[in-house]
Amino acid sequence: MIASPDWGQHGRVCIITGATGYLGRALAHGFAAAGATLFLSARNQEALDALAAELDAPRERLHTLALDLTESNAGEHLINAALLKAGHIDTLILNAGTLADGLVAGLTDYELAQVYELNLWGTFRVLRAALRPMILQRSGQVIVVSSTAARKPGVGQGAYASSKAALESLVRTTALETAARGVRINGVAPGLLAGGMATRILDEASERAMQLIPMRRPGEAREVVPVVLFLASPMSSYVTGQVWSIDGGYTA
Amino acid sequence: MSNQDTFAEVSTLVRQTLALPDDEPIRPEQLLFYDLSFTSLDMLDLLFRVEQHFNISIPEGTIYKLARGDMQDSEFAEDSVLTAAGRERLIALLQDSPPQIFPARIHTTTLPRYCTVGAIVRLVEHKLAAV
Repeated sequence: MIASPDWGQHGRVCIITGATGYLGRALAHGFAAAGATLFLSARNQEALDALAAELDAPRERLHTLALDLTESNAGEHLINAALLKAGHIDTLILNAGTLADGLVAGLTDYELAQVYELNLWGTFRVLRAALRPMILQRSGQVIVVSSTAARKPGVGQGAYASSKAALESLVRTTALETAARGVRINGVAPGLLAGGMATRILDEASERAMQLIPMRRPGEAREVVPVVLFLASPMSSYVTGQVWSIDGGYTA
Repeated sequence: MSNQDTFAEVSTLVRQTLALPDDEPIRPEQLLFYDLSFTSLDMLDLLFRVEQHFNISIPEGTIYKLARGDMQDSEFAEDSVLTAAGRERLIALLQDSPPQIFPARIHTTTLPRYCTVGAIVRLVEHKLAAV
């Protein structure tokens, strides 16, 4: 077994949105074990409480906030709550997301809006609210969870893939604007993971999906976590505006 | 709070924004973008600091609204460019900025570009008086 490196998270304050999903939970475990103080956000308070109870961290390092990020003031509320309790924010992991599969020709306004409302607008509003304290404190790391679908979409992913592509563009633009203020923003683009949103693909077309992945297997959330920890750590101090694919070679 | 106090505090915030030494002289007539080499991010940074320090809100478009005053939007600007009347209003508002820095066509999104330090002091005092 490889010893876990010191990710430089002790005493750092980290916000994770979409914390109770498949990847969000793994991120919460990873950052809790790395010593960060966590603010975990998701829609369901019970699920947040259950997650907090299983994390390897003292209770005083764990804070939960049930929020619907599609509400226009939710982003500001989340950031203000963290600032009020912790005084500063070091790391923001924008992981909340949803999908609605459907061919573009048949996609309804409602379906597209639902995906954009959370994936793009919800993420944007949290990001915007966090940039103010980060710019003022001259430091901060933001990691946006994208998807390989942004670069290499599949049939029926029009809403989801375009929302993630928009996020990746936002990552690059924000990086240009904030780099001189010590604020770094990067993205991770996981491929097919063995849980969460992708389970339907694995259930229905596993064999075909595996043919497209050079490693011939889906990824696991724990394989995404070290990349996010790296991007949040001082070890990546010269990295900004990038989106890292974690996909078994799918986009190679 | 006197005008001198506000100026001293705004000067400190300008120095913090640009990471200038504490003894770097700041003068009211200095233009943020032309004399102090502000970028649009510096402007945003300064306004964040001003809002936090004075506990006031300076929403996007504040200078536009102050310059426009009681004028109709359509009289003040056309296709996002100030009309002749709108341009006069802006120059009157930013009275300590040299008239030659204002181009013939002024885009509505660029109005903060023509502010001096003194204009920010007046903006703060205007907001504080309204609290």
